Amino acid sequence: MAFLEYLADPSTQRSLLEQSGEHLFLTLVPVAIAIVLGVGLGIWAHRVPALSRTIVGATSTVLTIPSLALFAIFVPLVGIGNTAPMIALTLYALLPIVRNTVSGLYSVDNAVVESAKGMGMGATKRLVKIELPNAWPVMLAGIRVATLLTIGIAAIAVLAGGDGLGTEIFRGLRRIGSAGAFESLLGGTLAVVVLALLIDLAYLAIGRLTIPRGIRE
Amino acid sequence: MSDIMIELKELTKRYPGTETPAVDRLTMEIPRGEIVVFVGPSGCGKTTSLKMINRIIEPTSGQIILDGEDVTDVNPDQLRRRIGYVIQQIGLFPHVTIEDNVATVPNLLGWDRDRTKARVDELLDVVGLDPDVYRNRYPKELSGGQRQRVGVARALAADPPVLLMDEPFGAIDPITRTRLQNEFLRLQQELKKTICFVTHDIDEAIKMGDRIAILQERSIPAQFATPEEILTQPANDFVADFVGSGSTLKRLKLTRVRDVNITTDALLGRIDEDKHVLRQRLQESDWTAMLLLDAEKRPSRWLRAPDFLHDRPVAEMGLPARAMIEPQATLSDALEEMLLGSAGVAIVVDGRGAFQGILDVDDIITSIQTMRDANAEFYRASKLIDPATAIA
Amino acid sequence: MAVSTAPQELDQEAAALGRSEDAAATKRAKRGKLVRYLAMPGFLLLLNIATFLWLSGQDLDSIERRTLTADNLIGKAQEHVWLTLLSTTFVLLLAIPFGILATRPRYRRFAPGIIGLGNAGQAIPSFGMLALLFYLFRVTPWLPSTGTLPVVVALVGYSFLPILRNTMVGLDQVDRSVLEAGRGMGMSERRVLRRIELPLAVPVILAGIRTALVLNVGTATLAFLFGGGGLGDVVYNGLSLRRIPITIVGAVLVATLALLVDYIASLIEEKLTPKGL
Repeated sequence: MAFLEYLADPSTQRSLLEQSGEHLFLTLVPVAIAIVLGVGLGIWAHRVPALSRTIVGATSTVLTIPSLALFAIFVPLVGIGNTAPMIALTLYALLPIVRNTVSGLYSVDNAVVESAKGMGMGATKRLVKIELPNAWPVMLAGIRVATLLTIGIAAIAVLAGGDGLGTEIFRGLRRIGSAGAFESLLGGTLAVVVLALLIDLAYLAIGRLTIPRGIRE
Repeated sequence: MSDIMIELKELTKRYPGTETPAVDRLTMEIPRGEIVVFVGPSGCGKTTSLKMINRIIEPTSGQIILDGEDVTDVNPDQLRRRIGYVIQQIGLFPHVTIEDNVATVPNLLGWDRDRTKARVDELLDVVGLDPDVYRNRYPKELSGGQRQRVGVARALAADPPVLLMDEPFGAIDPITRTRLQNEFLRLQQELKKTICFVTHDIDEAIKMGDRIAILQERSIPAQFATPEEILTQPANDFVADFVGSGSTLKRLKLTRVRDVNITTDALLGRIDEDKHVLRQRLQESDWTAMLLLDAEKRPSRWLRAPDFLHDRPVAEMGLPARAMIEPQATLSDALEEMLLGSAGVAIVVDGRGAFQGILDVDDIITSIQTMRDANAEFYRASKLIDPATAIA
Repeated sequence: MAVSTAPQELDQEAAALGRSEDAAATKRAKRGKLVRYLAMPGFLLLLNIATFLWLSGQDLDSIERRTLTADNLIGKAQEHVWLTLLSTTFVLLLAIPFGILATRPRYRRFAPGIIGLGNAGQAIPSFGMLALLFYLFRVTPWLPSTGTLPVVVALVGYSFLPILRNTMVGLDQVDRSVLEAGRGMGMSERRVLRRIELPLAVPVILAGIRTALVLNVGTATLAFLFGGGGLGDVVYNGLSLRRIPITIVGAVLVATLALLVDYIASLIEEKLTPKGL
């Protein structure tokens, strides 16, 4: 099995590991920024329902733009490299986070919010102590989707001069017809899948740790 | 200290884009320590009126005077911390424990930890939930009735002088509702809070209210009076219609078990007594049945002479004692329990379930008779025809 | 995935405002509806005019001039549209019948497994998956290794699972609510399928068409990697040759095409959805 030999090669392992690290950086930084922006936008959209459709509509329009195009649009501004893909990935990650923040906040029982209000909790305290904790399971699901989405798209960053596991796939693609092409294609692709599964497991753990027991399924 | 706790002056709510106001110049004085019930058909503005008192709904115009202070324009959050609030959907915070739910207002007021904790335990006890069992539970682990108890405890946490209750027992099954109503009335006897209570159910209004405001459209009071007055002297056709027929039966709701003579010298036994001793006591008495109590004096089983023929332990003899009511239950509740129970009588117990006495159908009939006599007297005096005798 | 040019919401809003029987409000709602209908095409038109104006002001070198000819760009766009339409047609022809079959009572026990596979498949990056599918074509001697076919197969292969999954989830929702009612009235299974399920499945199928179009117009951007051409070629040319004008024009055209396809699909979805659903 040529693929097992490929995997057993220390240099393969080294480069896949290194690229996985790059891939994580390429994904997690945009997701982190998107969480801050997306939760903020979501809260805003929930507060001002008139804006809600515009905000969610704009973020979903972004998701319709093919990734290569969105990566490329930022290249003239920040040059070839990781930065342009990371800006684009941040925008891609926004939609699930904004949408789930809005729907999570809407899913909080009105009676719960009203009773908090009726006991004299101010707007900010209500948001922080009541609304966000109760919306959190839905928000976290959105963040998870955003992360998995970003991990997949980040493989294309290599075409805009970025790094990450797309590098290995692209290496295989350029060598199609010669030896080792298939191994690189499969290795790079599987590494992305494994990374996604690991991240998914991490989110399971985060859910366990952060979702209050009273609202856990 | 004035004896008026809440004063509403020309309170009006007009929603933008609507011609008629939802609440039109509602003026009302709510006496200290009383339960005032707002009752009326749906859409009459009763809930809007209630919610303007703690300014969940901001009034368009008018004034709210709370204990002599104009609170129409004070900081609403500060105001609400002084007013307990219970709503039909309860609105417990699902993500925190029962303890944290009850501690909400004390925490907002910055009480220290020990004081809050002691207060939470005290309140859970007051509403009949064992703090050690329920403190660390979450709302989803409680039944509807238990949740509403927590809702009441949470509203009482900082000992507010005023409680607003919006159909608090509306979403609870009828049997539990009756129990919660009775418990709440018992509680109120000790607490003496000023309570505004909204319901669409005239029976509940009659049972709970010291005073009832029957509201028409735009929250215009058709009559604001005691339940007795409303039943006997409806101010107009609207009130008479709303109160409806079956007034005599309704009057059973006005009289509470504690107001009639109950049998306190019933034949009693203890569940741990010897079978032969019990049998002898039953035979020597003129009673046909004996009530067995457990160690905490709670009624456990009914025993009759034939039950001794079977060779069973005392704890399994006879029939289980059912149909228990508390002194603040109405005669209507008692009657219902009697019909459901097996012994044809209701057992009166105190808040902890300890035996107090027995009420049977005769006691209720006597009470009805007394009421009818009093009524006949009232109608004779006012030269009116008693509708009850006219039909009979 | 879908842009919310949201027809139903518009109607609801119009209806809600209309109820107040305020002529001005109705007028405003109508205008609002029109504005929202024209917003996307208007935005795309402006974007392209702006790009064109910007480009006219640029001093283009020979490579840029050679790439940015109308002929070349239109050709690439045609390739892109062609790839999108072909792959969408094939994937729908495969996934929708298969989805209907897989949700029939006889095969229903496989449904959770297939849906699970569809969910898991979302973890596979499009880039890697396309490359692997293309590679299989290249190394299988009796299959054509160049031209449109391998690319279309790769696109279909990539979009099959998501479309199948969406179809099945959609049909499953229709089923649960309606099947019992129909059966309860004494309709036969076939009759239920023809008279109730299929009409109710129309929105599911329309949504599938839109999703497939948007998905394929996006992945077709990568077709150039496998010799399939398309507008992705222009973008990548710009990126690899470090020619900003080419990059920008390519990116703007790709975005325009994708948003336009989604917009048209949303209009079709709105027009064809039976009233009352």
